Amino acid sequence: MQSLVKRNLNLVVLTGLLFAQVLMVGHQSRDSGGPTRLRHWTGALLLPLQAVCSAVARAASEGWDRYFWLVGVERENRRLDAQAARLRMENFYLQQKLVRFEGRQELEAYMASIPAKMLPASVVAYSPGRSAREVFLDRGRSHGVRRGMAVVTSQGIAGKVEDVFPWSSVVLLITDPEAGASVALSGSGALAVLRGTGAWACRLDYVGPQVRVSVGEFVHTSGMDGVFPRGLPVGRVTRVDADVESQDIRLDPFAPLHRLGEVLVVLKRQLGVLPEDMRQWAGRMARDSHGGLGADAPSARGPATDADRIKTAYREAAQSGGSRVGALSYTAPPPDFRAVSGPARFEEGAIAP
Amino acid sequence: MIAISTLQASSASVSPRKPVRLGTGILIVASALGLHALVPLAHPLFGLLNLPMLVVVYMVMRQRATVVAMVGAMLVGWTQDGLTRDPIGVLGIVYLLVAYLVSVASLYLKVSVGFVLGIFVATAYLLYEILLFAVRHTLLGQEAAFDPWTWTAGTALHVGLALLVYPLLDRLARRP
Repeated sequence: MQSLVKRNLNLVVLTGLLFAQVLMVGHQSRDSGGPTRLRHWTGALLLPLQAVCSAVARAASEGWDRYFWLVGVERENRRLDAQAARLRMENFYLQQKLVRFEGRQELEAYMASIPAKMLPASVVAYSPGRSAREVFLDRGRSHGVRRGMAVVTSQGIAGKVEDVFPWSSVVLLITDPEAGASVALSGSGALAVLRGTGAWACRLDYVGPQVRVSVGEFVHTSGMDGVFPRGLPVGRVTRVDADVESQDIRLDPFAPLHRLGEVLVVLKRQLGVLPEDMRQWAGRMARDSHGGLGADAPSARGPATDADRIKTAYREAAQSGGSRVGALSYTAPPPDFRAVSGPARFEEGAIAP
Repeated sequence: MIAISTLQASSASVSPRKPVRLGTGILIVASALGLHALVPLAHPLFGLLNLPMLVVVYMVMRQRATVVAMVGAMLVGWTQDGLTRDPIGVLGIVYLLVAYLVSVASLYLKVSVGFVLGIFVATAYLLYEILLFAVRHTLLGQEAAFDPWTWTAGTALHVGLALLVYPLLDRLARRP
């Protein structure tokens, strides 16, 4: 037996190591709560070195570009690129703001689109694994970066912080198959879930067949995932394959994910920085509506539409019976709406479909 | 034929069965990992390159003891796994199997000849891709893409790079 093992030592070791690793992989797949200890230490030890290498390489590259290769043209090109990116983002932002600033969602839209506190970071490496779309940043826990924070560029969103090390962090790009974000189509306003494909494109899930989506349509963040602030540009629809039950929608991200250089980490959305006039308006609305944001805003000016008139009549009927619409009470009697009559009474079937 | 002759003529000999020193080996592996994470920044096509795999094949070819070669390859795989989001051991399994097969095959092949070396590296790379595909597909249940065109381009890139880099590594790893 011993001689058999000795004779086939290589095969025995191979089998043992294989078996151990298969068990290890299985264990980690089952318990994928956070970064493993090995990953943590590898990241903590190698990434600072990587940042130094990246800085040296970048300095050499920039030195060549700036002082040997078309000095003036390069600088001018950069300035124009930056200006174009800023104007594109500003234009897109204003378009979205114009759409959303109509009606009574004005305050919510404003609050969601206020600037966030951001941290500039440099991409120092791409993930060595081909299945994952990840990049490494030179900013980590000591700079205030935390897991789950959004990462954006001046052109559009880039990804989400996946792991954080002391002086560096890993960002899962939106093109990774496991990445996701809540987005909205600019044309219809329909919500969708952005998913990566593993290539340099994304797809949109959960868009019903009744929603009309056209090629070239802009997609922006909806702000409903709690990660990306609302209204940031995401990409442009490049392909739509619709069938009876669903739609296969592909889009190209605006952010240049295959050659990221500088990015911004969204540290937090500054919800406390409302301008003075908006704060006063919010306070007025809160007083008028007895604590509900905009719940009774038309009543201050009198009912404006048929719907408002019907609503007012029903509310008054309920109040005369000692009840209050919208308030949960186990002691007050149920409201009696039979008293409502005349043009304000809502008849079933009165509204044509 | 011209290309093959050129390869044969231009490739320096790979010293067979002369293990790399530990310090040099660590330096080579760390450099390969660092460059591997850095080069895709220059061009997305470089994302096809797997420098740690090339280094593993090189070191295994020079290592006399198969067990040491396998363990070394596995550790490189773990380190590379540590930098990705895959579970630790995925590349460890693949490198372990590649190391075993390369180690056994290099006993019977004269890899110092450029043409043979090219075929050898091409086979090792394809083996790596197939094993990685199988491990991801079976063990992790991932939707790994079967992409023969990428594999072909990757094979050509790796063979070219191996013929360029292995002679340099030979010089670096030469014992005094």
